[in-house]
Amino acid sequence: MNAKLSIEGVSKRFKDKLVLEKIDIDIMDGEFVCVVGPSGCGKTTLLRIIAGLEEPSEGNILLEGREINGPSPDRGMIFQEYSLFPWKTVRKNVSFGLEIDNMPREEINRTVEKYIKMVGLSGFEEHYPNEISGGMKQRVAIARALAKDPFVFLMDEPFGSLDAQTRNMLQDELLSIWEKTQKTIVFVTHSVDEALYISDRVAVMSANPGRITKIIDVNVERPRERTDLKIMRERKEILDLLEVELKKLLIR
Amino acid sequence: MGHKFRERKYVIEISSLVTFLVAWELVARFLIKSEIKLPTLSSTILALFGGGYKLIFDIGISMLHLSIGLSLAILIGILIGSLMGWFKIGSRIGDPIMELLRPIPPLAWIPFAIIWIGLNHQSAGFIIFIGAFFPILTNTYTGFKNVPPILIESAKVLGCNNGTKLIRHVALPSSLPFIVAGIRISVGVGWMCVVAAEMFGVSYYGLGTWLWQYYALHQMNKVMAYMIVLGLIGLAMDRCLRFLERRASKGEM
Ligand SMILES: Nc1ncnc2c1ncn2[C@@H]1O[C@H](COP(=O)(O)OP(=O)(O)OP(=O)(O)O)[C@@H](O)[C@H]1O
Ligand SMILES: [Mg+2]
Repeated sequence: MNAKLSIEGVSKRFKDKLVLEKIDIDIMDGEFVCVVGPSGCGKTTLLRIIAGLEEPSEGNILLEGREINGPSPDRGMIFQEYSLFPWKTVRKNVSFGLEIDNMPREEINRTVEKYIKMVGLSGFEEHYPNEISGGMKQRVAIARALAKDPFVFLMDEPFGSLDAQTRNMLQDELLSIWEKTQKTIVFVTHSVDEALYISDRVAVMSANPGRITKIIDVNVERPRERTDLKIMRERKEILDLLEVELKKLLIR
Repeated sequence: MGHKFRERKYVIEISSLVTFLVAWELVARFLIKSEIKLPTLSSTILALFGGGYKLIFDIGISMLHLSIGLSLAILIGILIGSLMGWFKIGSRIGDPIMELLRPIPPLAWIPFAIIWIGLNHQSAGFIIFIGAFFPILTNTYTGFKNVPPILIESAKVLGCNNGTKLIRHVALPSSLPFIVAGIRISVGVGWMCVVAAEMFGVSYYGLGTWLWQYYALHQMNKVMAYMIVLGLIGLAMDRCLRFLERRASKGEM
């Protein structure tokens, strides 16, 4: 099976600082991969490079075997911070990417309605971003990216700033969207529990410079339980890896 | 109680205004006793409504001058402001020139306005343009400079990938509250310039033109009446633009 997304020897330097060093990972079609690692290890930078918002200093990103060239809607991105257009309603935010493409009006309306419904925001179409909660904002961002029907979905700690309950709910909703749409997802998170609950594989990163130290398969069938004992072994392994990282950071 | 409160809401404001007007009338009538030094309120009101349609023409022509100056200022101010805010090189090219021109009082341009353009509506418009231009320029510049990078990147990953589209769909709407605020300031400054711009007989009608004419004829109650009209129109325009400004900052435009 060929990889949907190949990251080949990607390094990134900001001035003299080496932030990412030789990142290598192949991600399969429809796979859900999580990236965990300590703060500042370069997770956002890696995602931005995949999105085409940042150039790698070395290495290549291949999407379906072709090298990427700048940002493009075939790689949808959900940012760590809120990123909705504050002057547009929920509906207009979701339709933005379609209107740019001059898609016919009826088709836009149909698509927008479908994805707003998929993220559970029917009835909020005419609200402005400052009138809805943080969790709802991230759902709009998800719908906005989904509407462009990307090959790969890049998510940078999308639920990081939400309370635990909302977070759990959105994880489940994301999983059901993933099952429905069969998208390939790269999901960055701080939370090992989140990573083990939602993903097929977890890439564990270390800091200074950012490297992938280990890729762990989560061989637990879905639907999973958050407290599944089968996950515990992986959980301990990742936490141990991260603890080593944390100690390294503290010693420095 | 809430009802009573609402009823009384403007009691103080209205009594304050009425007291001021009555005091004006009394002071003018019994203390100053000179229609030239201080016309009474009653003769001012008579002057306001006694001139027939002429007042309407004067307002119309002054509005014409304001519109010429303002529309030029909006067009050129937004154009240059956005170029300076969007492109790094733009502000480096524009800044030295703008910093040099900005401190020159608009009225100091009057001699050149007359020589370059002549005694006509356009030349009055030009003076008002000078006054109205800089607030719009500065605000547009600030707006464009402060477009949140995350919004630009969001637009890029959604396929909005060329400069023109980014300016039109992201930078411009994001800067709109700044721009509208700039326009409101400009209307105020431009309106102040109207009286001086019309001072040199650029047109037969005009609030400024006739303010000076009546002064020359020593009809000070008419001068006072025109001052009040200038003030009321300025107030009304400011209120309208405040309303637009609130809407723009809420994103409802
Ligand atoms: N544009 C930039 N210029 C210089 N340094 C940068 C830039 N962007 C990121 N960095 C540096 O690169 C390192 C990695 O940053 P990055 O944001 O990718 O980390 P992260 O893993 O996403 O952290 P967090 O978990 O806190 O979000 C940091 O040390 C940061 O200071
Ligand atoms: Mg980050």
